Amino acid sequence: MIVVTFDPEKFNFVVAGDEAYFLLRLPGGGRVLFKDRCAHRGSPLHLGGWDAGAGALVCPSHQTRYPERVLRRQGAPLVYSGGRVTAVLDAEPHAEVRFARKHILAQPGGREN
Amino acid sequence: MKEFLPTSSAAGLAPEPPAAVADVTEPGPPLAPEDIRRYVRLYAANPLFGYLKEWVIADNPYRRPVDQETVTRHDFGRPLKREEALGASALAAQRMLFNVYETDLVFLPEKDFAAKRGDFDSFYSNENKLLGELIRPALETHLFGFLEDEIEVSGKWSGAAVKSYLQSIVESHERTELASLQLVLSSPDPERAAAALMIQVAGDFLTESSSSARNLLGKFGPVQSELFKIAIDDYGHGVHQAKHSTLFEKTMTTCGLLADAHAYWHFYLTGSLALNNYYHYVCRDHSKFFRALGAVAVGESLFAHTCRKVSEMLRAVFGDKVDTYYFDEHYHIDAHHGRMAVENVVAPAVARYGDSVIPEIVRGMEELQLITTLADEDFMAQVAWAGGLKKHRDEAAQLFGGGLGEEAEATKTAGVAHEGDAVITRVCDTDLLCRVESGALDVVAGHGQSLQLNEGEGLHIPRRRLHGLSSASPRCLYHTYELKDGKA
Repeated sequence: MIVVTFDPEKFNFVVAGDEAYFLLRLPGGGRVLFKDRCAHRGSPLHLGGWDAGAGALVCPSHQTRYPERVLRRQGAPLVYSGGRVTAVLDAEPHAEVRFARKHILAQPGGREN
Repeated sequence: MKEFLPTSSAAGLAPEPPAAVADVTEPGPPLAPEDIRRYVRLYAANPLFGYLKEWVIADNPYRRPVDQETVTRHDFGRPLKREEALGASALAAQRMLFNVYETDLVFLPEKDFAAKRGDFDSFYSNENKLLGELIRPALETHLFGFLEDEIEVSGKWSGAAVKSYLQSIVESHERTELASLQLVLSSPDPERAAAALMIQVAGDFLTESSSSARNLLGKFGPVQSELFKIAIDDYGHGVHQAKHSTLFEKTMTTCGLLADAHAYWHFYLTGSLALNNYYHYVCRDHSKFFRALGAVAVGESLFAHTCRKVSEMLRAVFGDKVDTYYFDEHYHIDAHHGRMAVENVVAPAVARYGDSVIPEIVRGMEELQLITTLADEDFMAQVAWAGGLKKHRDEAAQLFGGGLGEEAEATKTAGVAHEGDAVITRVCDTDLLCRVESGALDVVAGHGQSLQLNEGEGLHIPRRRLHGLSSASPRCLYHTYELKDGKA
């Protein structure tokens, strides 16, 4: 496992080893760092959409839905405190880690993180 | 599966629960704001918490001034924001909450109990405890409610993730030299600054483990016994000379300080009180048991490095005369306690009670670190101010020399102090400029840290800096002005 800390004002996308994660700010409050890979066919979830009526992230490829409660329960272990995000990622201890800022289409309301 | 079923006849006789009984299964409404205000004022009006003439309260653990004047000016019925957590309302509320929590602990003076019997009776009276219990939830929300907004914990946690997370916190901490200690070493008067640090931690160390010991009783399996092992070490295995608080008493006395509980009550900073109260807050309310486990685990894990650095600092400042055994012992034993707290308490608790308790454990780790950061910020700002009082007097002279603006003049307030008046320390939410018009005034910034202002002299007192005023002449007239953004 690997622990990463970053400023969510600067970054909202993390690649640790072979796995990518994107940061989402949920309408009900709080943030989740979710794997950018749909459980169905591996599509990039950050390019999905937000169904405000259902309160769910929708995969861009086959419309697989991830309700808010699932995102909260299945996201990477995350702590937000003092304006910083710290997350524990399932990667080798010396895996390369890269941070980026991307346009997260799935962001509810189009808000930034 | 064996089920408990009532017999048909008993079931037939069982009455329907009355509506009133059904109603009380829902939590009642919180106290109305006017009730909070009334009870808080009543609580603070206890003579035990009133003003005293002494800056140092020797051997009377029941006398704990709150500052009733500040209490009457603030609303304790709303949560403070993080940026208000070291303000005037916070200091008064932290003092009261500390008193509420500590009525659960036993305090006895070293000498002359008969003369203090009345104070003992009053401190532990039902009236004091009942009023304390009435205001406690409001004070807790007022002081710690902001933690809910400041900290988020989400995601799918596992025992391994918690361990990795805590390890990263410890590694990060052990890479630091601890800024507060560096500040002590570089201050103009390191002995006073180091003594000020010992005063800040004395509120906890002289009653060591009293707050976390709240989680020792009950019945909760092997985790309970593991927590007990940590407490047994802290209590010196029942040998008084080995009890950690006894070791700390020696540190205090060899730093030239009294080792009486709360002798330096006036000088506890808001952040230091917050840290003490936080442990009580999560350990007293057993619905926060898992949060308390996280706080204790991170506290024990970080304490070893902190103690090594404090011991080095004390020896650098005081030389051979200081007894650092308290910190040396912790450097050794807390390396074990950190491991024990993680491997024998947190990990088995997760294994036994499930991953769903982890977010609470992690929250406790984070909350304690945030409160510790606040306490460090408070201490460092106080040391910087108290170590430069003459500089702040010169700043004030410049400000007065340039003429105060209309805005500052409009806030002008007169104060009169007499020799022998009761004293109190407080903080203000705005920067203050104080000027002596006649007589002389001592501005006290800490134990043994004061500056006498003579007629015509002034001092800049930054917002949230703990200070007290006492007349250094039979009568002293002074004026205070509020400064917007520290400017006149």
